[in-house]
Amino acid sequence: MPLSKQNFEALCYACRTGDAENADRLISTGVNINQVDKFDNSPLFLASLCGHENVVRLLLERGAICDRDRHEGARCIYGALTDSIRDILLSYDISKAFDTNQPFATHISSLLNDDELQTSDMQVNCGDGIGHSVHKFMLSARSPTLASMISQPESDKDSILQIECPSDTLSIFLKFLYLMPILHEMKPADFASLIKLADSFNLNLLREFLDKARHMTDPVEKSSLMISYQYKFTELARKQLKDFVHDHIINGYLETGSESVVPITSTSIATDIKSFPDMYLKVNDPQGSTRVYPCHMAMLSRADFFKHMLFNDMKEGEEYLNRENKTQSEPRDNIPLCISLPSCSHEVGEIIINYLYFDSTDIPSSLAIDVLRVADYILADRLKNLCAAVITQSAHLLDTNSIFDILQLAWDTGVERLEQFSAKYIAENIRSFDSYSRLETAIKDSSKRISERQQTDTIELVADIRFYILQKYDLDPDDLSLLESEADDLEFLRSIGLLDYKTDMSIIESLLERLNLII
Amino acid sequence: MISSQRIKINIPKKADMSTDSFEESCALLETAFDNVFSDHSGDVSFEKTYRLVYELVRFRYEAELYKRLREYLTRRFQQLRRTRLDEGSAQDGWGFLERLATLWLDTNRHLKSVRDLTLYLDRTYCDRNRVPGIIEMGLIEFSSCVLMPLKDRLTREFVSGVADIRSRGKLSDSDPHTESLRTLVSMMETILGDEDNFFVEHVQASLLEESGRYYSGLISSIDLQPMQGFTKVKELMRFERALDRTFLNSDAEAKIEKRIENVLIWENFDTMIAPLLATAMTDFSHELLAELYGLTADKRYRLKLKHVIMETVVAYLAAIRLDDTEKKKSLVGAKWALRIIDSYNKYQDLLQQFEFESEPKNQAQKQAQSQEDNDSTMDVDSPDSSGKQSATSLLNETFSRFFQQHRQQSVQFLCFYMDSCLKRTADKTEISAVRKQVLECAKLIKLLPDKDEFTLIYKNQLSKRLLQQRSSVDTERFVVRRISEELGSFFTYKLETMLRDISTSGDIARSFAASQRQRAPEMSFDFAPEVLTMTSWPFQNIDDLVVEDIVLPRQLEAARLGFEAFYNKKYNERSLRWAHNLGSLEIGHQFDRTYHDLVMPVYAGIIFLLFADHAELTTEAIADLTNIPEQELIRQLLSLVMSSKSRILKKSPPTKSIARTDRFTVNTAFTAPTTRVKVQTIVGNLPGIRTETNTNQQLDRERVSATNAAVVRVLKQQHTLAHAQLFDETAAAVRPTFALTPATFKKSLGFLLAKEYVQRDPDDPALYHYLA
Repeated sequence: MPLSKQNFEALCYACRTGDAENADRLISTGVNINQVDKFDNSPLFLASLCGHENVVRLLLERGAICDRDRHEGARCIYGALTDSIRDILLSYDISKAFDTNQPFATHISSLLNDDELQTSDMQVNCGDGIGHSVHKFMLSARSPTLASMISQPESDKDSILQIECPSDTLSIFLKFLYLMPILHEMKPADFASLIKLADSFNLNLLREFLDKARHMTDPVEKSSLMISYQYKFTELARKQLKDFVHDHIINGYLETGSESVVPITSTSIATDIKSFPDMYLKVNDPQGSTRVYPCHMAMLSRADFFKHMLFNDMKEGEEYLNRENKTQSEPRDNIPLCISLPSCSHEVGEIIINYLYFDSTDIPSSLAIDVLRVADYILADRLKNLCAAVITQSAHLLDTNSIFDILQLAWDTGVERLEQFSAKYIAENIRSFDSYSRLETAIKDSSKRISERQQTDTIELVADIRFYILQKYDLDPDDLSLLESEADDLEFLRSIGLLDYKTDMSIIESLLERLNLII
Repeated sequence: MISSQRIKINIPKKADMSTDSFEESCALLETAFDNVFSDHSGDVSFEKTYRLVYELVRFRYEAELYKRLREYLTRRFQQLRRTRLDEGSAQDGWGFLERLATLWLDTNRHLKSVRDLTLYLDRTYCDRNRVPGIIEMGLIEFSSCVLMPLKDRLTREFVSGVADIRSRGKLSDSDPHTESLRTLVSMMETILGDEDNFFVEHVQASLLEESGRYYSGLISSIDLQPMQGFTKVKELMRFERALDRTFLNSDAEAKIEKRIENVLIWENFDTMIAPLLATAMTDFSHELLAELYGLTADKRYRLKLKHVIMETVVAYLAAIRLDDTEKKKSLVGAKWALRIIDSYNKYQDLLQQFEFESEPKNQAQKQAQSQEDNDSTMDVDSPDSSGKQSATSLLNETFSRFFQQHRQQSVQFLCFYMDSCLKRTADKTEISAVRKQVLECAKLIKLLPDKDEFTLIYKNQLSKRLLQQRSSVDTERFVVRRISEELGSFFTYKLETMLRDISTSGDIARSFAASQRQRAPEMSFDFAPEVLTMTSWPFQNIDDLVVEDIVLPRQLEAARLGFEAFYNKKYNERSLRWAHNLGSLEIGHQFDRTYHDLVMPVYAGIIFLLFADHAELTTEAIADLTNIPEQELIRQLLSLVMSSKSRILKKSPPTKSIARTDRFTVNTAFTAPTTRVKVQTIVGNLPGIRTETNTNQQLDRERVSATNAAVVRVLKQQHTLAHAQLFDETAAAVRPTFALTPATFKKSLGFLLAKEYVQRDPDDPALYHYLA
């Protein structure tokens, strides 16, 4: 089975079970979320039928189409389990403007003309003086023609690129490159010059879209065209960035040996480098050498660690802001900004780069824990959740790790999914532990966390375990009242699993007693 | 999709740490923070510091680190207070305020940097353990180490700083002092205390207190004329508002404004605002009024202004004097009404741009009683839900209050005015002007308390105008429609019937004339019969009007018989009776010197026509020849002989009374400046023409029967009611028509008791039962 097919089926499964983190991860593999499975069900339909509001919202945010005028959309709305899901679906009805609220596209869109972070390194104008701040690497990645224009020495000098076309057209064109939705901004007069631009930069997909959109008048038709093409645009951009990252960043690294402090100087940077890096990311592999990847703050700033680094007046921020001036005064003779990740293998570093540049969620389970650590360091919360999704699905996770290590990891990194996973595992295997000493420690740790929280009156771990024990025997909290009543029909209690529940809980309770903890 | 490779957690090793001990890390961090606070952030490596914090957290030092950070900030802020604020405590107020403002701005910047450096701690430890974030914690320390110890000094200096700017009396855009104040306010609002922010808890009260004291002292120290005082107050308030806007939030601004209004407006209301308002109202000075009204948007103030305006208007109206130089009451009344209407229009012009506050709810309910007495059509203009009242609504309320106080006069005089206007419409050129005047008057009619009385008087006047053809029928119709719009068709039903009679009569007369032409083309005069529906016209008893055996001149008699035949053929079920005294004759006559068309009542005409055949007649002979009832005859003869402008008969002897033997001849020497002469009839107390007492009697009768109906309707629903309550409900039921008086009510109740519709309770005489 091809990988994308597998991913789609996994996505459908996640939609049924309400596994939002996994769904997010799978969507980011580039699966088309508007297709249907062999039963003709779309992921959106499954999620809304099964009542998973968070998944429904996620799917819609990632561009799932809910069009009341089409069979599929109508099914979603009529099938919605709850009124609130129905309302969400209706609010995303296709008649609304297309929402590009996808993590990948949103970030790229925010980069165009962004004065806040000042990550741009080039101005584009059409001769009328209104310049647009853009990124050389982005233009290079999006169009080979542009790439060759930019890398010509004379354009590099003054960092200004001139494109002959009307001012409005240029702005729409740049928006296209930066994945902003453009349909509603296009006026009939713009088409001709846009098509010319698309041709001169060999942007076939844009050309195709323009040819179709040009003769369309019905707004609903236009919107659905926009949605399907916006998806194509995004995927194309993702592919282009993927290629770019692969060619220029992953393969453009510099090997500096295991020594941590190796100055990067003009000599060590190939002069013909075409990735236009404005910083370097250093990855120290504890088992091997140190690699330095030429990167772009614009993309790394998706992670809060990098963003905050730029957003204040400390050394790195100042250096970054002054990068232009320095290259002019003492060309290539100083050390560009170089930031290290916590010690990890090159693969982990590359996964991080891939994620930040094109939202790659291809995380091998063997590296997921390491990626999680680094993601925690650079404050990339979404990546953490994606890692957690991989970790919890790893078949061999507990071959090499104790569940309590996982629990500790969950606490360290603050990933709730892992906490839940651990509690569930403990609940399900409560009788098969060889020793309860680690559980005891864990409960103690969890109870310490309460004293800091002051207001909570239960030990979170215990509460979670109890919940999963109930779930294990398919019980409802209300069923517990049967235990308290004088029901001496043990057979009955056993048959509905209450006795099993009681046995499991007695293990926990004895532990609590020993720890002198009262719930 | 999920690889099956081994997955392993790498336990962090202490060896990975970049420092040897916690203390060493802390020392490094402290150096970094020191650099931040001394504005040497450029020396701090974000990456290294972040890494340090990350490692400390990973190795479980987070709680300790947080504590250390807190201690560090405490130390830092205490030291900052000492070095930057405490030293040189004798420095002037602005110096202190400016230093504090700068310190605050610096602190904001520094705390943000510290937060960035400890971002990992902030995101992990603070979020997950629900302790204040780094910046928040820093602000708490700032508050307790810097602000709280300086609380009193800050309040003092802040208030005197504001006072300083006030005393300068002008604002400039780039004043560094207001800038400091703004910074300080934003600081005090950011710092939270137990209940509210620092500003509200500690400073606001003093600021309000001082502001009040300042302006109170300022305004009482200068003794000014109202106008100057007002200008000054306006100036001060504008200044204060502009000042407050530069550094306060809207909430505090409003509080200060209120305090100052109290001082500047309320304490000077009677000496300053009230006289100015009176001037504005009497001078109809729109500008002054707008300024007074625009002084503040305070609701209480505007309500008060509204009351004063209403009082002024009522007083102004009451001061309109009756013009004693005119003899005729109708002219006096019309003049008065004109001035009332004029004032209404003037006040409307004056007030129309304002929107008035309506009464607060509870008060409104209390007033509902009195207000309803005034007018119930007020419902249309009653204050809308937003609590605003339009100028029109306010004026209507005011005028209806005024009319309430001058009931009789207003009704009558407005009628006189309408009458005098409409009478002018006989001249076609006046019609459009009159229409406009009448429209203006109609606005006031609905404000009258006794609309039934108005209708009654109007009806009488209308009937006179119609029968004597004194006005344009089209205009009459227009006016009646207009009144019907204002009062409802209930009041104008009969008026409409009267107008319909007139137009139907016109049609009948035309077809009669056509039929006559075929048969007797030689008819030598125009005959305009008017057929009136008895019940709609204000004549009580048909027998009072009709005198059956009048002898008409030959031609007239022929016309009468012809018309009767014609009419009976057309409507054979209807009986036609002739009310000659309502008609008129127009006779052309050549006197010695001039020719005149004489217009006179039918009776007078009959008498005059006798002289075509007789040169001289005695009273007795005239009576015999005409059969005119004696009293009427005497009245007509007197009119023909005595009236100054139309003396067309001569009498011998020329005494002032008529005796049976007096002899009459045509006054051939009569002449007049116009060809057309109207023979005036001397007014006498005769049936058919309604007098004031008659009007009142009829009004009474109508009111009693309306009250009867209302009482029965009320009791039918409630079955049993106490006297007072019954009165109230009945009054409410008849209010659209008239204001119920106890006398009318009593009369009505007496009637109903006598007829046994209603029974008094045997035990409680104040209780009434309905008898089905």
